[in-house]
Amino acid sequence: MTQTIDIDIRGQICPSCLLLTLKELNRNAAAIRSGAVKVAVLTDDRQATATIPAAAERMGFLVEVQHDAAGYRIDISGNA
Amino acid sequence: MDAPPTQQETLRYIRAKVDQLLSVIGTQPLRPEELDDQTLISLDPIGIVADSFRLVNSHLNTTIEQLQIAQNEIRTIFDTVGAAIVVLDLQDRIEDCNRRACDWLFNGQPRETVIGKTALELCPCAASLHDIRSRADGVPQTTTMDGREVQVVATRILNDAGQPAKTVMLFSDITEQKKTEHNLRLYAEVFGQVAEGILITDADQHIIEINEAVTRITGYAREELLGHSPGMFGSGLHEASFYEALWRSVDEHGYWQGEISDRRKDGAVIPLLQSISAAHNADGQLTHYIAVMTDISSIKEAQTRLDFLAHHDLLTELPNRLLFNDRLCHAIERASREKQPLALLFIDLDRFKNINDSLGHHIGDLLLIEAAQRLRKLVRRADTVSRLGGDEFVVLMETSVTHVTAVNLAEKIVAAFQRPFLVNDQELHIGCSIGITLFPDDGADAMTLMKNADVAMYRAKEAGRNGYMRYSGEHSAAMRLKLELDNALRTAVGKQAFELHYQPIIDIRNRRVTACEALIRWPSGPATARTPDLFIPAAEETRLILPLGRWIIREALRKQRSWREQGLSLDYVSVNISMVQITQADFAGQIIDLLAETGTVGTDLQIELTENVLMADTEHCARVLSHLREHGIRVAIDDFGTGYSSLSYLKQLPIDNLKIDRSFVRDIPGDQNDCAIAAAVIGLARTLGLDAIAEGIETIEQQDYLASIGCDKVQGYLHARPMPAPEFESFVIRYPESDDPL
Repeated sequence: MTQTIDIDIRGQICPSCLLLTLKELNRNAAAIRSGAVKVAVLTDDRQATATIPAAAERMGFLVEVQHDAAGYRIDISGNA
Repeated sequence: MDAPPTQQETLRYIRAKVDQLLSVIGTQPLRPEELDDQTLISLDPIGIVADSFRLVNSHLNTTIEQLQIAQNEIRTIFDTVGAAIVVLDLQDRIEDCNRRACDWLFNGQPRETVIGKTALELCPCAASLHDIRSRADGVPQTTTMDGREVQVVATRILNDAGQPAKTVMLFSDITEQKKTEHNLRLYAEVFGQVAEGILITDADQHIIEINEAVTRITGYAREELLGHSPGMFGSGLHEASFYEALWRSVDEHGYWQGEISDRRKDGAVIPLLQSISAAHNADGQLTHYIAVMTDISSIKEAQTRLDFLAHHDLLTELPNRLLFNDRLCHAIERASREKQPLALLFIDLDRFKNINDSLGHHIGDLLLIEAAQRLRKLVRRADTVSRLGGDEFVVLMETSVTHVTAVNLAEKIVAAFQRPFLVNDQELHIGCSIGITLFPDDGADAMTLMKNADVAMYRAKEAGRNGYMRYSGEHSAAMRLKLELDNALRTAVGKQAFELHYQPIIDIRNRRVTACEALIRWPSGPATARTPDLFIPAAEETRLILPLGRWIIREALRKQRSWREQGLSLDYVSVNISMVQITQADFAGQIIDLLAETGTVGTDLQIELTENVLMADTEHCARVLSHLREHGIRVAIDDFGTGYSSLSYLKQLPIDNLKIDRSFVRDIPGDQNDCAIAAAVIGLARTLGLDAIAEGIETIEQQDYLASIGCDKVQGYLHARPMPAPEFESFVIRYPESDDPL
């Protein structure tokens, strides 16, 4: 069973969004890589949909961005 | 010495480094209004970014490691692939190549040595590949390198800007593939063209492939066969056990070959020579059956025909001697078992040789065919008619045989053969003589029965032809005598053990010897047959008369020439000619050759023929005699008055002389009838402008009478008997003193 960590950073803008997300990714890196944990970032900052995926992918994670009425949801998971 | 930085300066420095790190990570700088100094320190952005870089770095290391593995993998594949691969830059310098390329194209030089050099420097074949290289359209091209077939594919690699950057060339040696393709084409050609039908089924005996010959042999179209079982060719002519044995052989030995009768689509049965083989894959599993079939109908027909020919006479299609003997032996076996009689009728055509000799073999053959048909119509189905050869036929009667039924059949055959045969619009008269033997009375085995039937047949011939004779033991003795005579004659002809005697022909008016008749003598002949009337018929029958007749003419002409040289001027020498001689196709030619050989001319010779000879085939005789007449040879009718005495031929034939038979001379002048006949003959001769000679003159009264009615040429004992040549010569020299009429 994969556990999802939700990070709701709506109302914040970059670079805070990115730093908060990176902090969470750093803390859970091993669990995310093993597939035990997924991170779902909720944001309404459009710029974050570019900076967060770019940084997460360089770290070797899979990233998926979805857009809905509430804003953006960025799912980050291990690539295993 | 500088003063230590203030807290303010330190915080500014931290913000600047945080912004520098954020810029590296690809985001905006921190805005002071968003993050006060206190929060900045507690958020620890430098720590966060450093941690993230650690993760990025770790991911990069993993990726590099994976790339290295991938690169090794690709290099391994690159080097082990069967094709030679060369990567060129746009100046045709080698950027990379695989091991196969080094070995094959670059003479085994290591990769490190060749990289950077141009293709032309390394490989002489590069020039010929220029077009392929410059086109680099990815289309396989076939070329020849060092005598091997090579497929070359050149492909362009573009850079990110879409510009040509490199050329990859891939070389594959397709020599073996081409050879295989060639062989496959050849096999396909053989498969399609071969006269034998080839049929392939899967392991479940469903037809999966056939060649053209199968459709030709079976009459089925390809579509009608594919997917079906070869069982559809079954003719129903073989027992189930035949097919069981066939498949047992295929199962046990992988092979069966033999003759099989199948049925064509149109229902006709076709004899096939067929072989069936089981085919297996590499694992030994049965995958296919392959049947090869040869249509042997024509061979079978030829075999049947050959078989027929071996046992039948070609001309008449009757059973031949071989088949007849076989049937006779079987019939004897059965007849012995069942105590039933058999009858053999041995048939010989009369006068057939004359027809063959005078009209040619073609007519003779047609006559034999006609004779065979007549025979076949007369016998019952159970009887066998066979032609033994020549003009000999034999009938084997197997059912309801008695002396009477055998004789009845013989009578019917004799009667049938007495009717004229119409051959090529000519009416031919032959006849036949038949010898009959019955099993077991006249012989207990095939050979004796045949031999005795032959003996009986000869007796029938001797009894006057056109008849039949049942064998009797007495025949054997007569036959033995006849055989002895035949043999003695044959030896005598070979040794020329004959002599000629000459009897003068006297012109009583002019008192001179005008001519002589040459007469054959056989001093060493058997006592039973020393005189010509006894041995000449045997010589005719054995045809020994032909060499003997030539000898007589040659000898007589030789004497005639030597007499002329001695001054004995005889008008001609007269020689008797038999029917067998004159029916030879080239008789006239032979006489003319003999004249030349002996240095004599036609007027030196007279031939004497009896009326019967002339009557047998008047047309042929007319041709021969006219031919002889053209050469001056004289023709006399011997024994005139004793034969048919048909006067019409006297007009048709070129005749010079009539010899009045001694039987009419004997009783003149006492017998008035004979006198009248003699006078009539002499009158006839005079009217026709012919000479007349009276034979057998023994008394002066006979001669005087003949002279009184106008016959002045005579021959007989009154003047001289036939004499050996020296005696005859002195008779002529001393004539008329030598003539001493009684």
